[in-house]
Amino acid sequence: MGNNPLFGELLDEFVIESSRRLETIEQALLEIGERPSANTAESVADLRRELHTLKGNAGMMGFRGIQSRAHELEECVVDGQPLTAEQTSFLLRGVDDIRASMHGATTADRSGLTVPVAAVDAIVELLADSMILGSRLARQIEMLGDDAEPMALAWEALEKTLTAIHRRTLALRLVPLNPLFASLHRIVHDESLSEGKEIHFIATGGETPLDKSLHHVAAEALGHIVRNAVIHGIEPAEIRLARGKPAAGSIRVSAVSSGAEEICVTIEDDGAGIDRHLLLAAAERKGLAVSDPNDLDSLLYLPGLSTLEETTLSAGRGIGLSASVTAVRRLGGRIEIDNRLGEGAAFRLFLPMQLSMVRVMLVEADGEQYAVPLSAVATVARMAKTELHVINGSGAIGRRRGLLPLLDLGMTFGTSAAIRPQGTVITLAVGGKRRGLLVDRPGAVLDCVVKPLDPICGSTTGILGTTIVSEGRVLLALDPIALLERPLSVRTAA
Amino acid sequence: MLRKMLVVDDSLLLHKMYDLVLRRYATQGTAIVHAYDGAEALKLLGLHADVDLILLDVNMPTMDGLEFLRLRRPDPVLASIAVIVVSTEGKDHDTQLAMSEGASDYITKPFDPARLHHKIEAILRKGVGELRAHG
Repeated sequence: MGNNPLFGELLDEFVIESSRRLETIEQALLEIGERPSANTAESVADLRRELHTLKGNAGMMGFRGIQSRAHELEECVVDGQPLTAEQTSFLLRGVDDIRASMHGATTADRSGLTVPVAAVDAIVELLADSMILGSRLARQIEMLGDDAEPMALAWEALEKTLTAIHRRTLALRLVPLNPLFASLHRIVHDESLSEGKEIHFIATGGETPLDKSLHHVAAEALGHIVRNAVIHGIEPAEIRLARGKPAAGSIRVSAVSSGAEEICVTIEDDGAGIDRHLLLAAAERKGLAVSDPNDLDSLLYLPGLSTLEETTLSAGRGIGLSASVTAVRRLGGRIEIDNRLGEGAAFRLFLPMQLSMVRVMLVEADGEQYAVPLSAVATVARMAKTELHVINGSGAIGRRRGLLPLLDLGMTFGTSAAIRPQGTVITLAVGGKRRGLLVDRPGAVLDCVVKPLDPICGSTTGILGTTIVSEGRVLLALDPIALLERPLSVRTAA
Repeated sequence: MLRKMLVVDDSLLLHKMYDLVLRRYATQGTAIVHAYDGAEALKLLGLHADVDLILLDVNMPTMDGLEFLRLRRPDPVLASIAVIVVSTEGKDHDTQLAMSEGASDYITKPFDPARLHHKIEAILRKGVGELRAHG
């Protein structure tokens, strides 16, 4: 990396600023490519200046590769002379190269978020912790009785403030869709060039915010949709003219907040629409089972059915449409299609504006970590050797209300053969049912997204899904309801 | 001693770099005034009469470094403030133009922070010497 250790701490700033410059350059190039009137001496000079600054900054940071690539691009532009189509393509490729180099250099990416996401997540975790500590405090206050009324009121006020901070901190992860729209514009530009079609790209509502962690999923799905629109939707110019349409096709992308918690991105083209019979024929050729031939959705998202694969190279990129639709559904989103044969198609992608986070407590048994939804945790207490009662191989512990049956987490998942003699009891309580979950030790409390298990894994009782905690570790999230209903077997079969 | 420095650059990254250089090398209490193009720099100079040194980027939107140098020249107060021009490798022509428009010195990106520090020191020493000679 950089030859100046003094500037090492500016790496994120460098990437954020350079990504913005690359976006500006890319947008200008796309405009110049589409509208000859935009190919002015002034815009070319602006472009050259941006490249020059990018080069200088990369040099200061010690990124020689980026510096020399930016230099090549700068040299390709001549002040006062409009760009040729070849120059525009050369420059766009260069933008991609530099972006790729920067991506390798750091984890920060081309978003409008100027705070590292990890920093926001760390604050969210600390807030979650303080709310847990607070609820413990609230229980203590409650036990003090009526005398503690002023204390209870003070806590209530503090809790409201904490909740508000929590909500606002989560909102920091909201990032406008603009950079995502820019990448769609780029796809339309590249694909229409290779298809030999003239297509206008019109985007509105790019300021609509979406949780940073959802951008990737949205970009995958929308990328497939616009690529399909260019390759299959928009007809060749001669067919369009014969159908009484303008020779140039258009793809409109728009975004709105369709409710307090949801956004809707629409991609609309004025092409031929989707021909169900073509899809059916393709499915038949591939020997794919079609559940409902009249259901366009199930046809379009049929795994393995990509009519693109047969005709172009583009389809091989990234994951398939069916997989990206599945990813959208997992996150609580959906895609609706409005198809008008001969007139065009509109795809509407609905996504929650923010990921719904579940507050979990990490627990450890036999060296494995699991996440327990905190809403189901009533108490956490250490258990001494003398407290454990073993009756017919099942454990129980004495509590004020009587015996609390125990479920050893290690035995449940087959990592231990017998009930551990000491550990921590996590009391799970849902709808009047109580049971103690016996683990080695409790861990941190944090907010995370729980994703349902892939159906490939089969249904595993007691598992809600997977969750990714810091450092990208994947943990199993426990299903408290299933654990409360699980028979307290003497020995696990596994 | 360097009391106040005006940094003129359209890149926020460079401003942060100068902050780091100053924190590392300069004496305590030096203030930095930030401008993002030549026009803003001229405006800020009206508000900060006590600027001792200007670090000037050449390549900026709205008003570039060369235009800034030209416009400041007729004003004797502004013209007396030392300017270090910061240019980029391969832009020798710009550097020559800047020197002929009254810049005190130049440095080429990418530069070593210590080298910038030496240049700043040298100019300030020279500045004090000149004042003594005149006084």
